[in-house]
Amino acid sequence: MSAYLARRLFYSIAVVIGVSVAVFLITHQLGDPVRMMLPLEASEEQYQAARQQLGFNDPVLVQFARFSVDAVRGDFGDSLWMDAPALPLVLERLPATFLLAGTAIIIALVLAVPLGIIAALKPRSLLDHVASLTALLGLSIADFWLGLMLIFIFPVSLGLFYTSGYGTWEHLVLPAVTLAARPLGRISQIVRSSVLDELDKNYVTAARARGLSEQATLLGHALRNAAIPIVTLTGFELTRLLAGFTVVVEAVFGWPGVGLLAVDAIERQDLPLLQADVFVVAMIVVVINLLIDLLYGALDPRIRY
Amino acid sequence: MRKLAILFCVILAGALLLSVSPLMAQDSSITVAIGGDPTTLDPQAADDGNERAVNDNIYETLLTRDASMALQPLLAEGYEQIDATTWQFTLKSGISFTNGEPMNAEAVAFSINRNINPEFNSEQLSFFETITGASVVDDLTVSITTNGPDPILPARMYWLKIVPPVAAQADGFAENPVGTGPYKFVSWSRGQQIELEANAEYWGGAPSISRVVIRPIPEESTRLAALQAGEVDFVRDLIPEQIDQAPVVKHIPGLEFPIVRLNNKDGILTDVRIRQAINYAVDKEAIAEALYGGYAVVAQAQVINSSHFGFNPDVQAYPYAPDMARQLLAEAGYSGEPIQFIGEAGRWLKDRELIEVVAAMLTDVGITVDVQILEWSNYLDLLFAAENQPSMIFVANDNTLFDADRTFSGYYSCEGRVSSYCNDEVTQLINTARTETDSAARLEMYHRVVELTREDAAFLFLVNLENIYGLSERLEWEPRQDGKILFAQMTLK
Amino acid sequence: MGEPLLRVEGLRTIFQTGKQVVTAVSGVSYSVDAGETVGIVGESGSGKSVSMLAVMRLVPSPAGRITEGKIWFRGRNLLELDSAEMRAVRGKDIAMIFQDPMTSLNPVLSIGRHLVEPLKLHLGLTPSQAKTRAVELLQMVGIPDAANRLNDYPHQFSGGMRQRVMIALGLSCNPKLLIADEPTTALDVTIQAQIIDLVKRLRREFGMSVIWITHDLGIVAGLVDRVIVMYASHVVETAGVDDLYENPRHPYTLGLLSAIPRLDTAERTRLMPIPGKPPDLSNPPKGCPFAPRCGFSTADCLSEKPTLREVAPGHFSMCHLELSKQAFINLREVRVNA
Ligand SMILES: Nc1ncnc2c1ncn2[C@@H]1O[C@H](COP(=O)(O)OP(=O)(O)O)[C@@H](O)[C@H]1O
Ligand code: SF4
Ligand SMILES: [Mg+2]
Repeated sequence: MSAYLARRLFYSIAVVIGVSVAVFLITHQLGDPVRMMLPLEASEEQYQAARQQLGFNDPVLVQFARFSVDAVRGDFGDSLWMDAPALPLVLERLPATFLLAGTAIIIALVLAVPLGIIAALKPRSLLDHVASLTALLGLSIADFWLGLMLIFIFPVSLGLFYTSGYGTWEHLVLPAVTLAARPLGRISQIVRSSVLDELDKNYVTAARARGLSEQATLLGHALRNAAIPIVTLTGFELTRLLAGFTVVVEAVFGWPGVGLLAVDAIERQDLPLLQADVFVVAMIVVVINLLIDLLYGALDPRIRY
Repeated sequence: MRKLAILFCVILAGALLLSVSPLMAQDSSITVAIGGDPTTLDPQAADDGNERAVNDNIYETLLTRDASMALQPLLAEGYEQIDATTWQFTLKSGISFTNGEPMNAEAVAFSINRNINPEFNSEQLSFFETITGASVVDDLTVSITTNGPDPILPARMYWLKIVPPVAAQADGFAENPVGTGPYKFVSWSRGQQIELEANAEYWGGAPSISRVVIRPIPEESTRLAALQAGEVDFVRDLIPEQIDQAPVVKHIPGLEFPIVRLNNKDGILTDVRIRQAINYAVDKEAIAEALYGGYAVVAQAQVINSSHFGFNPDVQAYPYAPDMARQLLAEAGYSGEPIQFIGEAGRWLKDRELIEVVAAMLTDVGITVDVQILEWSNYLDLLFAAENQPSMIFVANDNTLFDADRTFSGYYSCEGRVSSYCNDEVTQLINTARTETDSAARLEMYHRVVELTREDAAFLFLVNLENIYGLSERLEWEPRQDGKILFAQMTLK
Repeated sequence: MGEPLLRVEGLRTIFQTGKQVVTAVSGVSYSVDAGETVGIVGESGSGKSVSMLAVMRLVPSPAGRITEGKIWFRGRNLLELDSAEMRAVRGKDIAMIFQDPMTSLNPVLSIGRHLVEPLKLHLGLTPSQAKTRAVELLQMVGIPDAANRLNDYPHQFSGGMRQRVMIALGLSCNPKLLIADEPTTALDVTIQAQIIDLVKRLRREFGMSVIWITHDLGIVAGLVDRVIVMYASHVVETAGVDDLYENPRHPYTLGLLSAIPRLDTAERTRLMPIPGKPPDLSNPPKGCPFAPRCGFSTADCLSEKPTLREVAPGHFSMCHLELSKQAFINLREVRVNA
C-alpha cells in the first residue's frame, strides 16, 4: 500500500512537471502576451519596454529556468493582467468551482443512478425509452442554451432563484442543474448498460437461484459490480468540471469559478496565471484519480495495491 | 478504504451546504452588472473597461468632460501653459482622499510620475507618452513637463487618475482603491462582486445613491435577464436584439468604430480606384440597420465622431453606389484577382457577421474576396505586421482620449504601429499637428487629414456603434458619449 | 411409490428475439422421484439448461418464456406460484449449481457473505449462527481451514474449490432437489472425480434427489439411476441407466452409445459427434427432429413427428420405429448391404 502510494506520488509529480513544462513551451510558441495587453495604439517603444520589463526578451531557456525555480517554491509569479500573485488568484476561486462541480455531480448521480437502474430493470420498456431519452437529452443539450432557458423560466418568469451571482444555495441551483445535465446523461447511460451487463452474468442467475429477491440481487450483488465503470465515469466527469469545463456555465451565471479565469488566462496568454491554473488542475486531477483508485480498491477486492 | 470513500462523499456534501449570507437590496442602493471582473483595481495599471467602470467612481482626475465632452476642471482649479513643454495646474484646496491623505500638489505629482514610470509598466502608457515628469511648485500647484509641445496634454489629464501617495505605495493597493471621488471602496470578492458606498464627505456633495454593488456577468443574455428579474438596476453593453426586452433602454453614439484597414503600401490596393470602389460597394446604412438594429450611425468617412477633437463635420460618407464601384474597378483594370480580407471573431460586437456582410457586398460588385477569420493571436500578428501586410484587415478603433492624434498617428501615419497606409502629406500633417499648440491651426490640420484620407480611401469606413444600456424602472440616468458610468449621476425615482 | 418429487408435463419454453422464435424446450415431460438421481444428456444446445432454468423459473426474460406445461413439485405447480412463493422454493427446496464455478460467485463479495445470505433468508439464522453454519458447510465440502477462508473472495479460490463452495451454497438449506448443470465440465479430470465423489456422498447424507446434466456418458453410468436423453429441445428417450445402456431404443441414443468403445467399463469418454447438425430451433422440421441425421428415417419420419411412447416398462422413446437395439443393428446391416 505505501509502496503503491509512493509510486503514485512519484508519477503524480512527474505528471505535474510534465504538464507545466508542456504549457510553458506551448504558450511560448503561441503568440505574444505583451501585445495583447497593450492598447492597439501603443507605440513600438512602449511595447518593447513592456516586453523587457516582463522578461520576455530573455532567452527562452533563461525564462524557463526562472519559471522552474520559482514554481518549485510555489511561486508562479504575478499574473500579467491582474496585479496579483497568480497562485492565490486561482486558489481563491477553487471553492466556488468545487461547490458548483460537486453539487452538479451529486445532482447527476442522485438522478442518474435510479434512472439508469429503472431503464436496466425493464430494457426496451416504455420506462426504459423515457429514461434513455432523458439521458440523451441531458448529454446532448448545450449547457449554454439550457442555462439561458432555465434563467428565463425561473428567475425571469417565475421569480425563483437567481439569474446569476454567488452566495446562497438559491444562487447555486440553476448553474448546478445546468452543469448536471451532461454527467446525468452520461452516468445514467453507463448505469443502465453496466447494470444490464451485470444482471446478465452467471453470478446473478446463481444468486436468484438461491432465492434472493430482485431487489437483493440488484442492490446486494449487481450494483457493487456495476459501480466500477460508474465510479470511473463520475470521476472523469468531476475532473472535467474541476478542470475548467464549467466555463460556459460560469459565464452564463456569472459564477466566480476558475473556468472563466483559466479561459481568460489562455486568451490573454497570461503565462503565470495559466501555469498556476494548470498546476492546480493537475493536482486536482491527480488527487481525484488517486481517490478513485482507492475507491476501486474498496469496491473490488480483486484490485490490490 | 471504505472510510476514505465515505469521507469523500461527506466533503462533497459539506461543500453543498456551504453558503454565504445573502445580499438584499436596500433602499438607496443599486446593483450594476458589468461584462467581467476587473483585472485590477489599481487605477493606473491597466487598460481595462471593467476596471474603469469601478474606478471612475472612486478616483478623480484633474480635468473632466461635461455632457458635451468639453474639458472642465475637476480636481484642478485651472491650468495654463507656461512654455512649449511646461504646463502648470493649480488644484482645488481642501480636498482629501477617503483615507485622510490630502489631495495636493505632492499627490498629483506622485500620481503622474508613478503612471509614467517605466518600472511600473502601465498599460496606459500610450496615453501619457509625451509626459516626462511632474513636480511640486507649491502645495496646490503642479508643473508637468512634456518631451515636446503637446497640445493634447489637458486631454491626457482627463485620463490620469490621482492616487494617494502613501496608500499607493503600500501593499495591496491594487485590491484596496482609495480616491477622492464620490464613492468609497468597501470590498471586492473577485469574480463575485465589488461593493462601493457613498463618500459622505465628498467635496462635491454626497451622491444620492448610498451603496452600489457591481457584479460581473459575462454573458449578455444573463445581464439582460438579471435586469428583467429585478436583480440588477443597470447593465452595460446590451446587444441590439435585446432592447425590446429591457425595462428602460438608454443609448448614445459611443466611441467604437469598426473599420477595414486597406493596404496602400503594396499589393493590389495600391490603386486608389480599387480602394474607393470598396467604399462605394458597401451599404453602410443597411449595415447599421440590419446588423446593429439601428443602434449605429454611418461614420462620416472618419473614425472619430463629433465628441473628438479633430472631427470634420463637412466630410460625408461614401454613398452606397455599386455601379460607381464597378466602373472604378473597370477603370483600374481589376479582373477578379483575389483580395485578402483578414478578420477575427468574438472580440468585438458582431465582428464576424460584419466581415461576412462586407465580403458579400464586395463580391456583389465583382471583387473576389478571400476572407480569413483568424485566431486572436494570429490575427494580431497580421495586424501588427510591418511587412507583407494584409490587403484588408478588420479592426475596431475606439479613441478614449478624444483627440484625433491618438487614432491618426496610429492608423494613418506611415510610421503608425497599426498602419498599412502611407501618404506623405497625411503623415506630415499628423506630425506637425501633434506639436502644434494653437488649437485652431491644429484643428485645421486634422480637418485636412480627414479630407485627404477620405479621398484617398485610407480605410473602408463603416459605422459608429452606439453604447446601449439597460436600466430598471426606478433608476434615472443619462448616458455619456465617453462611455463613463458615473454612479453619482444616477438617482432613484 | 406415490407422487414423484418433480413431475414436468409438456413443458415448452421459447426465446423470442425480434421476429425470430426459438423453441428451446418443446413439450418435454419427465419426472424425478424422491432420492433418485437422474442424468440428462444431450448435445450442446439441446435444451438441457433451459429446461432446468424453467423449473427454477429463471428463464432469462423478457426474451425467454414458458408457454406451456406444468411443473409439479411436492404437489404444487411451480408455474402457478407467485414470485415470493417461488423465491421460497429456490435455494430452499430446489438448489442449482452451474457449469462455470469461475463466474457463478459474485467476485466482489466474500465467500462468507455468499454462504450467510441464504441461511439468513431461508432458515432465519442469526448472523452468528449463519457464520457457524457456513464454516460447517465449507468443512463438509472439504475446504481446508474453512473458518479462516470465510473472509476470502472468490478469486482467491481455485476452480475446484469454487465448485465446492457452490455445492456448499446449494446444500446450505437442505434442498429436496439439487440440479447440477454440467458442474464438472469446466474442471480437469482429477478434480471432476473428486466433485462427483463429493456429490455421491452428500446426496446420501442429505437424502436428496439430484438432476445431473452432463456431456459425459461415462459419468452418467456410475452416478445416476435414470437417464433422460435430449435432442433438439425434445426428450427423445428415457430409461433406467442400465436398461438404456443395454438396450437403447432411439436411433440418436444408439448413435451416442456406439460412439463409445466400451460401455461396461468406467472409462470416461466424451460424447462422440454424430455426423450432421441438429436442426435450427427457430425453424424446426415438421416431422422427427432427428430425421435429417437418422440412418433409419422413412417418409413417415419427415412428415409426422413421433411421440414419446413407453416401449418397455419404464422405458420411453420418441421414434416411429419401435425396434430393439438388435433390430436396429440388423436393419442397418440390411441397408448397408442393399
Ligand atoms: N438467453 C437465450 N436467448 C436466446 N436463446 C437461448 C437463450 N438461452 C438458450 N437459448 C436457446 O435455447 C437452446 C437451448 O439452450 P440450452 O438449454 O442452454 O442448451 P444446453 O442443452 O446446451 O444446455 C439453444 O440452442 C439456444 O438457441
Ligand atoms: S422417427 Fe424416424 S427419423 Fe426419427 S428417430 Fe425414429 S427412425 Fe429416425
Ligand atoms: Mg447447458
